[in-house]
Amino acid sequence: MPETTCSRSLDAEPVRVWDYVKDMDNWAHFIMGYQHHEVIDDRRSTWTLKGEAGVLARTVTFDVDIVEWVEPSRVRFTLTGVTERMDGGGEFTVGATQPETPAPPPARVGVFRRWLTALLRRVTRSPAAAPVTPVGIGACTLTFTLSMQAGGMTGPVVNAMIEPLLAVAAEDLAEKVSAEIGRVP
Amino acid sequence: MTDAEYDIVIVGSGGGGLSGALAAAEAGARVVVVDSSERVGGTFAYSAGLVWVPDNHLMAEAGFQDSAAEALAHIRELSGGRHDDAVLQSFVQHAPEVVRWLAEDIEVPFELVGSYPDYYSDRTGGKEGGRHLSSRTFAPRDLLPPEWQSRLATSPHFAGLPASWLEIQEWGGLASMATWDWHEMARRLTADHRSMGSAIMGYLLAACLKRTVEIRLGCRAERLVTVDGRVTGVEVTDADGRVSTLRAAKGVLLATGGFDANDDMKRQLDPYADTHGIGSPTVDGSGLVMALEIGARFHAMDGQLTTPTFAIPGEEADGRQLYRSAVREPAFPGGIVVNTAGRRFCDESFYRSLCHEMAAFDVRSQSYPNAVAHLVFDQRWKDDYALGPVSPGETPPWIVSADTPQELASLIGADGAALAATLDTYNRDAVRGEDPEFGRGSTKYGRNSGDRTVIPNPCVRALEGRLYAVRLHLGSSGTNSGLAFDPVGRVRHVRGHLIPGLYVAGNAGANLVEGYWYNSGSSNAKALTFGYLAVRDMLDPAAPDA
Repeated sequence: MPETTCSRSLDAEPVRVWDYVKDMDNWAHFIMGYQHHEVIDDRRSTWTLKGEAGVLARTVTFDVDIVEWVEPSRVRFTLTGVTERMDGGGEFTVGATQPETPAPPPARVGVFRRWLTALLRRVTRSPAAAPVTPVGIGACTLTFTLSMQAGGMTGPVVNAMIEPLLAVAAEDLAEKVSAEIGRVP
Repeated sequence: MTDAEYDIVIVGSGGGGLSGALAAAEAGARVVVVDSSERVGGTFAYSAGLVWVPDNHLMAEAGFQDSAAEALAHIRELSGGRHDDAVLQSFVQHAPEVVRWLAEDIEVPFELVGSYPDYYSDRTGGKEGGRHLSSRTFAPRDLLPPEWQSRLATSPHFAGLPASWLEIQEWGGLASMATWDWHEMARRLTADHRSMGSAIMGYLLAACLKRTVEIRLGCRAERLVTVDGRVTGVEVTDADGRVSTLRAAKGVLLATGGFDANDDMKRQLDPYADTHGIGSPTVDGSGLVMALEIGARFHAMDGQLTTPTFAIPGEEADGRQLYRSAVREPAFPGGIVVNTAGRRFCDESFYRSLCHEMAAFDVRSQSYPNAVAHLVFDQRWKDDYALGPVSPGETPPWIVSADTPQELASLIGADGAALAATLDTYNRDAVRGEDPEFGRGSTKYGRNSGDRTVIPNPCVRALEGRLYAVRLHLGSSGTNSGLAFDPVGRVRHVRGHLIPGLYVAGNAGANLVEGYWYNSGSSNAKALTFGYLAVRDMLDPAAPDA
């Protein structure tokens, strides 16, 4: 299943980031190809997006169901295609970043980085390759994971078309959300 | 942008344009190709990439018998005498020579699509296979410089189908899509393989770049420059709005396509204008306008190169609703096409019949009774066949369905009682594989479009169980009307003489035959042939000047 993960370090208190993320109206319009969404209840909503894959553009409607809500750190959801045979899911995680420490001697950098990376990976569930930069006091890491898979006969072809788009869309969303909250460069 | 001097200026980078450019480059001429689009390929790249060439060298090698005389007899009979016989003879004589040159000198890997029949294979001189060529898929990453890989147009109709025609035939045809190796398709797609018309254009583009042909994209031709009645160049505007003149010592080739993307021109020139352009959006009749400005003769013909299409709500290409070709789907057994009166009106297995009747005007009712048509099919059809990108068994919300004909009719705005009666009548004969009313599957072309596993008639089976319907629309893949030209592509003046220095290839020129005759690939073959012939004539010192 095509999947992508991206993280951004934010110069903001985790609780502030969570307050922003938990209200989808704050960031819905930042989603690439966003057309509109409708909130049905606390757990369910319907989203219509316009995605471009190569020379084609398709407007797709998804049912979004929140399946896990761990305040103030994690929300996990599933996607079910209404107009397309396409399913997936994703999650937002907000994790506290360790306070900045003085630069360690070169010989100890590797050890510190490994420890910090492992800790952040556990907190944010991000893959080992995800770039994470510790920032100032009160900072946190926002991680966004998105997966999507087309079904049916042409599913492999559609997946091949959407795979490169997922990463672009996730990065774009993370960038815009970060900018909105106020990311430390 | 400053003025520049060339031997030959070519307007349009489709099949006719690049065929001409390659002929010029092979002869050592100074040539430039300009196109208003940011991508190379024109209508040809949007096409299915078939090239119809009677008596071609590959069919002879494969054991198919054919001759120029048979092809001429075939087209003459079907044209009803309404054609320019000298132009037709030139096409039939030279098309085999041109595709052989493209295959052997330009290295376009043509393949014989041997099982693809002529539309009218049962008429005089018709063939049940052998006249259709296409090419292997094209890999831009292997064959184009990086900066050109994204400048090759891809057809939205075949964007998810990176397979050659020969493979499709060998895999059982489009009715067998469910059994294809879609993981291999995904691999090719990830590797950016192109197919159909885009593949052939890829090979032509690679050959042009190898020969250092100058290609200016985003460069719009505005008007022809003339001196004492002779065309001596083209005024162009580049992407930055700078105007300049490209002078042509030998001639200008208009290869700008027809006007299928220009709704205003279609309304003015065609008897039925409610069609949706399915080719390149830049094919807007600009070349015709330039030629008409200096007195070129316009040959008005019947209608357009129409194709049945369907639309997936919200699906777009080139910034407009995409209308997907549905040439084959109406031929699959277990389906029929009905109008709002709930009645069938044609042999749906032969899409030319379907298109003709959808555009037909009824004098008594002063209406187009079949303009709103629906493909109606049953549960087994739904379970067995793909509808464009919709997998077998999948039912997106835009496909309406119902348990009874009356209920389905109410959903599509048709007469329920009439639809029920239509199905009763059709099913009564269909159980024997027969369609006495309209003859589904009576042509080789129709049978080739159907499901070969269904016997005795691959296009006929009674409709059973739940019913489904999809609205059909007429798409336009090209226009028939265009500039009048002579056997080497020289454009005629409205007063009858030839316009010195002006040539035409492809759909900017009128179709070979007035009326409804053509075959899949005949427009592509005409473009390749007359692009080559025009340039060869420009460079022939012995050629008489008009």
